[in-house]
Amino acid sequence: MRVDLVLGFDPTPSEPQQLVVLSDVLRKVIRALVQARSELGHIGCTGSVWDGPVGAPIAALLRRYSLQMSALEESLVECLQAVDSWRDGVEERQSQVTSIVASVADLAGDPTAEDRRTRLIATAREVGVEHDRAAADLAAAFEELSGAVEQIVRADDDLAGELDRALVALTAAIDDWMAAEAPELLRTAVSLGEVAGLTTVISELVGIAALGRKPGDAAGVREIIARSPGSHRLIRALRRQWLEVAPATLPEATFSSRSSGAITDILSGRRTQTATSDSGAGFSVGGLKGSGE
Amino acid sequence: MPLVGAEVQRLAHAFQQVSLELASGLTALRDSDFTAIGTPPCDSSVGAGMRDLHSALSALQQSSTDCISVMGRHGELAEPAPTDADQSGQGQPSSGEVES
Repeated sequence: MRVDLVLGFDPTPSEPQQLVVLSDVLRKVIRALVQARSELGHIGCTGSVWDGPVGAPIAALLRRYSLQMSALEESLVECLQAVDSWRDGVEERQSQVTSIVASVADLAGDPTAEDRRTRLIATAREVGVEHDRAAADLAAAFEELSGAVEQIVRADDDLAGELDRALVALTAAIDDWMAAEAPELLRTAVSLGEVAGLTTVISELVGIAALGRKPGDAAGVREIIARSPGSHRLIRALRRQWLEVAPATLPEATFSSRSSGAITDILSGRRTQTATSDSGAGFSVGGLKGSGE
Repeated sequence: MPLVGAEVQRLAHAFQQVSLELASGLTALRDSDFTAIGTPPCDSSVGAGMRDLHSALSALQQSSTDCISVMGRHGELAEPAPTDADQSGQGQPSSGEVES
């Protein structure tokens, strides 16, 4: 039954289906803002890696961007609450009006019910006044949203420009740091190279990798030692021990002809004897001694 | 600078995610009709608010898109410097490798 045809006006205009759509849209946008904000929140927060002097401008702009979304989100939550409240009220008022409309329709054609009909219509108007008041509250929530948008999105806000300047400054800071620390970085790199070289040296000395040199070859030994120029203590140890011990006992690099009792001999303490008798075996303890270990 | 590189990459990724999320918000607003919500003055305020919301989301998304472009221009911060081997196109054994 059409309200405006029976009463001559509609005191509670509103399409419940439209309210469902509006509510859904607001929820989706709020969810998107919350999700977007959480992406930035952990990066720009105090104590993050961007919180130092060079990163601070980046953290600041991330926080500002996050706050813009947060402000919009808060305003939308208020709108959503207003819409939900409006929906509940609309449902109740439209139900009242439906009941009034049914009563007025029942009185149609009865000339003695004019007073009752008038009272019912007056009640419908009162419901309409209440509806208008509630509508004004809903309108106010959306007017505040418009006001918030004006505050949030300022024309002079240049987030990308600020980010660009901050990244330029970050690049410059890194370049400065590299320039200042380059000598130390180089020393570290050389030192690491020496450690790596030392690993090769030890491998060769114990006979794991002969690299095509004969262990007794003095020139080869000098070359091996030369590969670790920074390891002074090792060089001194090698120079002290190498010529007397290592060339005589260092075996050829092979694991193919180890005798079955070699490990047992080693464990039982017959090291020197094993080293001498198993001079062709790759797992020779003499090689270990020769390496200075 | 692996730490700086990783953090710059995280930042670029965050802006991309923000852009996607805001785009989904804009999609939700697209083609929505906000009439017959209530009284005519109320419909007018709701319609204006939702249009302003669309403008705000568009502006925020534009900011994230611009930031993604800026991050792209500073891509060298997110990538390790090329090594000699990378530049020559072939890897060299490190000094620690045993050439057996």
